[in-house]
Amino acid sequence: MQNRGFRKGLAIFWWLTLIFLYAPLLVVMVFSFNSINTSARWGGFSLRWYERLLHNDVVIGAIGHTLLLAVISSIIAVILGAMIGYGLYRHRARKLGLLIVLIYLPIVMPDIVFGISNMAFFVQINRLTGLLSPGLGTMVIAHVTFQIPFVALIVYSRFVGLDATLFDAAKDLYASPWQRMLHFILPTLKPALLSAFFLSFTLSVDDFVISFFTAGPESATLPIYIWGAIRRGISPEINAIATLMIASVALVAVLSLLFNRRRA
Amino acid sequence: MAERSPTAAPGGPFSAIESTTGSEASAAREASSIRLKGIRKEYPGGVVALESVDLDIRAGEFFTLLGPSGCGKTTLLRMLAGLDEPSGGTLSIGGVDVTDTPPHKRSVNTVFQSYALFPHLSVRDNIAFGLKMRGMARAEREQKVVEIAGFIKLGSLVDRRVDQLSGGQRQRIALARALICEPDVLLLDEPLSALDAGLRSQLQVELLRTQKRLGMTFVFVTHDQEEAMVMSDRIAVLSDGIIQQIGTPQEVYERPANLFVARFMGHDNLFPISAREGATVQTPIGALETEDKSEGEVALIRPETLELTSPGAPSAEPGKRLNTLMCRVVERFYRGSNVEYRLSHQNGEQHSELIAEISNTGDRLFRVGDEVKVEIYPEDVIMLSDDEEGA
Repeated sequence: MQNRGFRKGLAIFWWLTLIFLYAPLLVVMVFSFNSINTSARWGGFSLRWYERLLHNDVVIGAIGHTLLLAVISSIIAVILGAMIGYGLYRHRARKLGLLIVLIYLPIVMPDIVFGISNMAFFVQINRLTGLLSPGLGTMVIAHVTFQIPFVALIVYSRFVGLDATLFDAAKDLYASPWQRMLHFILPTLKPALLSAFFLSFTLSVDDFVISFFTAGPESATLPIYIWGAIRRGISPEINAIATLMIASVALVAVLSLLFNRRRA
Repeated sequence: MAERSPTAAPGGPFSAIESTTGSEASAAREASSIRLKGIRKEYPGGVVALESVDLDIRAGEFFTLLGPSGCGKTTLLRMLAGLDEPSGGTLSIGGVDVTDTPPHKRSVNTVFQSYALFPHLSVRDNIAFGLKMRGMARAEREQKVVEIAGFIKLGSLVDRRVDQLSGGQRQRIALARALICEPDVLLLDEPLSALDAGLRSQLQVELLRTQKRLGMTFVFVTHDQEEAMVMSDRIAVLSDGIIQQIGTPQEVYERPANLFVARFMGHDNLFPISAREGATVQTPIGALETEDKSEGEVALIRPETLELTSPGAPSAEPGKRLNTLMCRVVERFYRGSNVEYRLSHQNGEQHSELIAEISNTGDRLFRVGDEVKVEIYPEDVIMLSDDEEGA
């Protein structure tokens, strides 16, 4: 039957998608446990590359920078983005076209343009005022700017999906503006804020281009370290770092999924 | 300010209610009468939702704002709650001007059309929300929830999650959440419109009994004239932001103030008057005698006042001068307790339709196609002005 052939085709397509998505990750993960210094041949199971990572202070430092940057920028982005999302919702009756374009522009802007502009901007400020020398500070600012649109979008869509009379009900039931924030808006937003945090966190950990242009000599993150190391060839050590990153991102994704399921 | 202390007297109205009659309770709530003076609402862009509304609502009254959608009834209700600000005029509750009082400082609670239960809270916490916001301690709140749950017979509903409740259950939780705050006035924004007919009439009765037992002032919004008549002490009929008539259900139904009110109350036997001479008016169904001395451009004859007999039968009230017309039965709707006939009447070239509602006394029913004699008492021919207020 024609239908059957079509279904078979779809199934093949599905499996191909899965293979091209996950097989490369699998290759990296498998070869991170290779006992010999190549990704061409399997020489037996070993944890030697992981051991070497543990004794590599530069790598440990880069991991620390990555996590610190991700946590700080995500917290700031969630606070600011939630305020923008709430503002967009409160004033949704007005024409907000230009404002929305301004806020969402960083999403569509090529990272490389965004990174270079950031760098040029920070350099100018630094030259004029001595402030904002490249380092963790500039990286946090750059990361927050590209995380905010995602947070604002998530918070805004949570509000839009809400019965608007809930705001009236809270007022009607004697809640003052502060009480409404504390007992209605924040608890209602909690799942959205957590997903926004997890998304911001993974975006930050993933980012290489923007970090590269805004980092200082002392603030290299893991992706920057990998990029530097790769110029000397792909070592199994890189595979080990990649495997650790895959594991941690997967962990955050699973945590976020579990949390949302518990809410639903 | 209409703010009330968060701690109520021990054994609130929901525990001691059986020993209190409605009138005693309403005397205690004298403070809740509502007075609107020249209330206006105009939206930016010039759209006028309410045009200078004057209204007095008595303490302990079940008062209904009735009208089609867009007539301003919900806007008016939201102003009582403080959720919409009037563009002009003053509003007082219990003698205190609350025109500029924000909603969270008014002793008024609302049952919303969508019920607006908080999805992040349990049913129990939803009910206690208002008390918590007013700073009542947890133990006391829980005691109050138990009391109100007994009062509205919520049973095990308080232990459910909000998303596990049906429409009717949500409605009762929303009612409990508003009543537990013991407001001076309870506002209800079409709380029954989302429910199916059976549940709806059951909840109408429950709501009415609750109001009578508490003696609380209820302001109810609906677009359903039958619901309004069943439940209300008084009704205000609104159209285009203007009150067309205020009166008891009987007054509004039997003596509509104008054509709009008559149509909205479901009247169909409306006949334009072409000329009047003394007690005789000329209409498309012929000359009619009327006892109504008021001016009017339209004659209203309520369908239940028509007398139907066979063409040769004696008059329904011999010796009295009745309006008599011959009609033919076009359709018959049998409703058990009554029967509705659609009748056609030919007056020369003029063709008209009449509707008669005859209570079913077990007599022989007329059949479609039968010729019938219709008799109309002169006191049942009512003059209406076709000018709607403000139109």
